[in-house]
Amino acid sequence: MELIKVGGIQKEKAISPRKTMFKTMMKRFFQNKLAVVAGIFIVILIFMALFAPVIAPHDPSEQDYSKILKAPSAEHWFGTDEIGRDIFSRVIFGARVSLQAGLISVGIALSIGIPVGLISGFYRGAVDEIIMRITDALLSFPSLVLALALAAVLGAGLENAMMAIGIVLTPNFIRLIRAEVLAHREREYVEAAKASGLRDWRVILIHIFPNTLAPIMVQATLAIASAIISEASLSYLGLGTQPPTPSWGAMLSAGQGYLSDAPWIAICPGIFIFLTVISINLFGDGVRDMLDPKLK
Amino acid sequence: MNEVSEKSNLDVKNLHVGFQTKKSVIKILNGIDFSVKKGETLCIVGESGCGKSLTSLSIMGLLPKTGNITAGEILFDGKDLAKLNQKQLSSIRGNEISMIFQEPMTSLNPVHRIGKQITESIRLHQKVRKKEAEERAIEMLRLVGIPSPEKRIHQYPHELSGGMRQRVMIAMALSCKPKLLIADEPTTALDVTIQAQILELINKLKQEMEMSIVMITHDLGVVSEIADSVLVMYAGEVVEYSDVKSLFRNPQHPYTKGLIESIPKMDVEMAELPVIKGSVPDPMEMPTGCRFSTRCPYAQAACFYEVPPMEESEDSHQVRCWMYSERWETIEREGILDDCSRETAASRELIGG
Amino acid sequence: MVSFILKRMGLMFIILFLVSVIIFSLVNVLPGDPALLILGQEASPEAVETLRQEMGLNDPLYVQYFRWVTDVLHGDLGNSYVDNTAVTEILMQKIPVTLELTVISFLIAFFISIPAGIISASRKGTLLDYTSTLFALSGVSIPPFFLGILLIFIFAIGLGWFAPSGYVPFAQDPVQSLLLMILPAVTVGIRLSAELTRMLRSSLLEVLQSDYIRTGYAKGLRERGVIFGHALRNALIPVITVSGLQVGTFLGGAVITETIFAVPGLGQLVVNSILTRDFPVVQGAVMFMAFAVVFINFVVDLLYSFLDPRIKLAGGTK
Repeated sequence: MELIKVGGIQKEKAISPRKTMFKTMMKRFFQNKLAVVAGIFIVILIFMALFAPVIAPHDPSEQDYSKILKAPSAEHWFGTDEIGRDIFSRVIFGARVSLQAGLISVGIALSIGIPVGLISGFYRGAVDEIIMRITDALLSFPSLVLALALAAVLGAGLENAMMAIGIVLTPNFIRLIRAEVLAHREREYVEAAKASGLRDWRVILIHIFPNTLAPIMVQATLAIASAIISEASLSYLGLGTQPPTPSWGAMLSAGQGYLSDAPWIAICPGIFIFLTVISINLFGDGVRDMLDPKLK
Repeated sequence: MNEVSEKSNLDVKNLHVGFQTKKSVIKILNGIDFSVKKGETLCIVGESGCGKSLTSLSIMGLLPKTGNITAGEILFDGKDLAKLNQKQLSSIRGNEISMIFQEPMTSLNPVHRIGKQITESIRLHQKVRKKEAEERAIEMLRLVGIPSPEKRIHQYPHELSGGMRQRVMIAMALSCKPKLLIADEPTTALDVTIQAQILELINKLKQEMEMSIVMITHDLGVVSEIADSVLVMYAGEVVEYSDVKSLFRNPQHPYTKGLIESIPKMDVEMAELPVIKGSVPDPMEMPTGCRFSTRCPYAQAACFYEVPPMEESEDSHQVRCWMYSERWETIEREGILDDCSRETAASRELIGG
Repeated sequence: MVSFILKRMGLMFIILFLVSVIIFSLVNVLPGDPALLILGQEASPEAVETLRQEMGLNDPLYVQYFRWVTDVLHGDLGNSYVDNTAVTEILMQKIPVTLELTVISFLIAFFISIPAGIISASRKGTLLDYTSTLFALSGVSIPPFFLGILLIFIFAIGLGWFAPSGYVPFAQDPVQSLLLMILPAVTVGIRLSAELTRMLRSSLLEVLQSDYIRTGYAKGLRERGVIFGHALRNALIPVITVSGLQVGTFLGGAVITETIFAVPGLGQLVVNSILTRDFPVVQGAVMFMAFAVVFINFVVDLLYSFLDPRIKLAGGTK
């Protein structure tokens, strides 16, 4: 008795080429005004990081003992620290460290997580079981503690901190990708591809991997935010970026001792970490809504 | 049928419901009129999306947050439900008016025991002790034909079959002896054999408890079994309103005819079941004239731009169709009503309406 | 039910075994010679070698691992290289401190997140919802050390309400202990409550769409009755599962927070022992943390089946 409904929307979808899909996605993204503002802030930050030497009014490691612990002024926008360095310039250079840490750590996590997750989900069985138990074990460590231990093993420094954070982030990606593969591997098109005699790795790369991209992108964006916090935390604890390279985490740690006399030393870089992380989170939410409004 | 008699239990008059969107109000229900007498069963039929469920939710005061009654009255026992606030409505809901839904599998809270869910209804409206409420719940479960109800009240919904859950829903709905029961496709999700049992149960309880029923369904088989009168809805309007015998003996609106023709018949072998072609128009792009005109095999030009009135075609049988109007002859001959609308008709055809 | 618990416990032991392997290998590749650490930089190479032999550091790694695991299973986590105290004894001192921080933080988190999540979901799209969403987003975006420093700056230095750091055992002076604990607990609690608020909001929004919620209204329940009587418990089921997974994040936050506020708990212990290369202490403390995470997840799984009667299917009714 239910009459067949020929929904106008379905029809349109079938005809619509990729272009319109891209358009609606863009439209969806730009509807989320907070995500757009966040995106603009991120672009500014990237610009700051890339052109730090040009933008920064002072050399970030130039010490000026005549201007110690000066409050923010026209000359020094964010004031100066305990050895007379310009905080504003250091914050700009610090953006390099933070963005680098975020991107490279997540890059490391993806480059391990994607193949391992694909293999785990595609082959299942014993391989999957072993990989899953190892991720379980890795996820049982408080992530910061594991990063701290790894950083200690590898030795202090930005490169090693990024490696440590990358390793800590990996199990999450393995699990996400594996879950996506499991959801897709039983679908008809994968069955059909397998039946037609395609090799395993072709099935994985051509038919399964592209379908896992949307959730990976969302997760990767949010992981950048947490990687930035982790790098700053390691630097705060002294196991991340080493002086004299200006890093936001280390600046906070150094500034903590001068909170009552020169709060700007700690608070200015703190505000920047906060704004960066919240922008990336907002941007990630926007990307998620853009790719799949249902994921919300 | 139109007159507001003392006996009538529910009187819906000129009900309009609209949905607020960012830009405008989308009108979904457009002047619904009907009444249900005490002890009578009214069936509302129509395709999905024609406004059946919204009509029932309006009566319950359970429209979604963006939905609003924009005009009209819903008189129940002399009170206009459309004017009551949520607090007043909540003392009527589950008490004087109850509702059961289409989805017995998901309509019960999975984390509470059956007994708790029924006693909750009872204790909400009546000052009784927990013990008494529990006894009432057991009694209700027995009434709806659930075996060993003393044990069942300690079970969780997932331990019961779909048919059993719908019985629980009915027990819950009737636990305060409502004057009106609204049933929104209560059997659609169930097996055919269970469907018949549930319908029979509803019919039996109706007589025992002297209540009125508004039953929403798209199944004309259900209608013929339990309805006293029938309201056929199409695209947010009433297109035919009649007592059940008259409707099946002499369906008048082309839409109703289409619905009846598309019932599979056991004795006649047909190569293909006739269906009504096309689909319900989008609320944003309602036809200016008769809303069924876009799918009507008999439609004349006038049908596309003149809204037909609801007219009494015979005793206790109303229909909204130009074919039953005195002016149909003119329309058939001329294609239109009069000179003044000839232009509109022409321009409409140009646009391709 | 019993088979479910047994299966879950089996899994737990496999994970704990892997955890112990990871910790052991991590600590053993840490740079620095323990014998040298104990004897000091001026020790003669012969003395160092003798001690290495004595400590079994020259044995193959798997022998060392099994010795360590056997000791651990006997309740012996070794002695600190720094002052030769038993690691178990050190842990016994530190655990109550972190436990106090945990309890207060979770209390703060529930106190904020449950009302905030409910208001946000039931008043979706209003100013209140936006405020609470923004709070939650800020809470997950602010690094714990910056939040801690801000709190010190505002409440300790600016307003002078609390001391900027320090710790007094609860048993010794409850009032003073709580006063000192407030800032660190707020630091951890705000992040927790932000996470919980976000989860509760989205979970509640989904539950509020359910058919049984409509049934609740049809019964004549008012909004309050529907939310507290029907929606909240269903919405909390996924929140509790996910918050079990958050224990690790929480302990990570505690590591930083204890360092900022000089709270002598497990977190500070881990940081200090890593920095001083005190391997037995690192091993013991990290092992304990991982064990806590695994165990809490196990408990949450049990709790989950308790909260959701549908899970109990295997064990029959009631």
